[in-house]
Amino acid sequence: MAGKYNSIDELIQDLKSFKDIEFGYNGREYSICPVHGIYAAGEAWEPSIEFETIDELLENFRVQGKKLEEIITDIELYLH
Amino acid sequence: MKLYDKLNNIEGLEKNPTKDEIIKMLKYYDKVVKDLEKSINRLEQSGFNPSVAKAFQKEVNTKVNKLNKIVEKWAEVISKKSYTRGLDIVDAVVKRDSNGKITLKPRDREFIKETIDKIKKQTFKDVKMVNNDMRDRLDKLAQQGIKEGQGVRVVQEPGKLGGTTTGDEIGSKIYRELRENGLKLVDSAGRKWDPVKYARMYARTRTREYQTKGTIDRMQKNELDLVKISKHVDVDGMDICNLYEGKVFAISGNSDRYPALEQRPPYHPNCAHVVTPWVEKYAKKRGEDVTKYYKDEFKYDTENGIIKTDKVLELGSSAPKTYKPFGVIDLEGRDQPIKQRVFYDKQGKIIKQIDTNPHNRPDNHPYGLNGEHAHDFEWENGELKNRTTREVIKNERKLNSDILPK
Repeated sequence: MAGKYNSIDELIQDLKSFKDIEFGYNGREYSICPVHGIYAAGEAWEPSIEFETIDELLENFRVQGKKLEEIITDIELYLH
Repeated sequence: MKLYDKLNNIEGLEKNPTKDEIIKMLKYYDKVVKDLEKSINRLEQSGFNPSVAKAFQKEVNTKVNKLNKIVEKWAEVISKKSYTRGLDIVDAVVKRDSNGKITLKPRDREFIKETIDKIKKQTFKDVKMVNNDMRDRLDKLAQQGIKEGQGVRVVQEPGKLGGTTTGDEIGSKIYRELRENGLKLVDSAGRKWDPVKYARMYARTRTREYQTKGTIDRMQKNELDLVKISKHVDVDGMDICNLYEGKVFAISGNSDRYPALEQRPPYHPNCAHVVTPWVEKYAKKRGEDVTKYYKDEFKYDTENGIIKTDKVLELGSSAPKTYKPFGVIDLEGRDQPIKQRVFYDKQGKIIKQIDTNPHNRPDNHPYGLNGEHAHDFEWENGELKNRTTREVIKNERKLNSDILPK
């Protein structure tokens, strides 16, 4: 059974702890990886979009057109 | 300034003692390459005229022979300097750390002479082989150019022989070959190198190897077993040396407390890390926390030679930042039984993580067979400060073979 976030703060905490995050939303898979000093995010197996900071990621990364904050409690966590 | 004073700063410790000789040699290689490039241009302009080609062959032969003579002398100097520097480091560090209380045995001159002679011969053999290989290749291509050029001159009517081949095309083809393949050095793995770049890499790597050998030989002669690996800035966090740097190892592999020195610097081409003697007694006196260098105490399945895990967390779980000392946690995956293995240090702080896949981001994880990779965690003042990413090394692959792709 997949895990859940209760708030965006939990995601921020995970990123600050250098956790790789794999999740699903509306039947599609995504991941966010803190790697080599950046945050690489995107749909599974698609080219990554890279963000310098967590703030930049939260502000600009879109999942099916939505910001992470908008969908945070709906995503299915496979790894974090 | 004496060596043991210089060793107080890392630049002094890791500085290559043969830098000047290496630079001199690189300049010479550069000149040879530039001269030969000019000759190749002349050769092409002549349409592979046999007399110009023969002059070219002679020039290549002369230059490579001269290069080999210089290399022979160079090998002698760099072998001696590097190896001796390794010996000097032992004397200097032991003197510094023990405050002169440890007296080392006199150097075994005969053994040192024999060792330097052996490594000098090996260096010369290696470099001569690649130089000669370059000479033979250039010679062969020039020969081929002469032959094909003659064929075209006999036909006189470009295009008739073989339908489309012209004298110019032959010239260009051989010329391209000369530039792309002839004027290159080929290493034992078959990789083509620009001669200057190869000479630089070879010299830097070999000299570090000889220095390490000098240090370890001198230590073994004095029954000193523990070494510490130097530490320097890892610019992109992907340095393979992260696994070793700043750590203490036992040369013999027989220590109950310290891990075996299974690999010695250089750990990769152009590696600048050095080994220095490390005496536990004096490290303690200096207030160094020696326990941080102790062997890990992870549990192993001795029958299968793999790590034993303490527990498996179900899909969607998160491994804690702290757990029990030397604990190991596995995390279930959605598309594979185990997605991640997390290791904790003696204080129960997360220290390493092995991921069995690239998290669906292969562009950011160009590692292993299937994107499997490892992370090392860095703590500072009780806070998690950084996580670096790297390849899973051979030993880790063996110990975690139950979860990694084969």
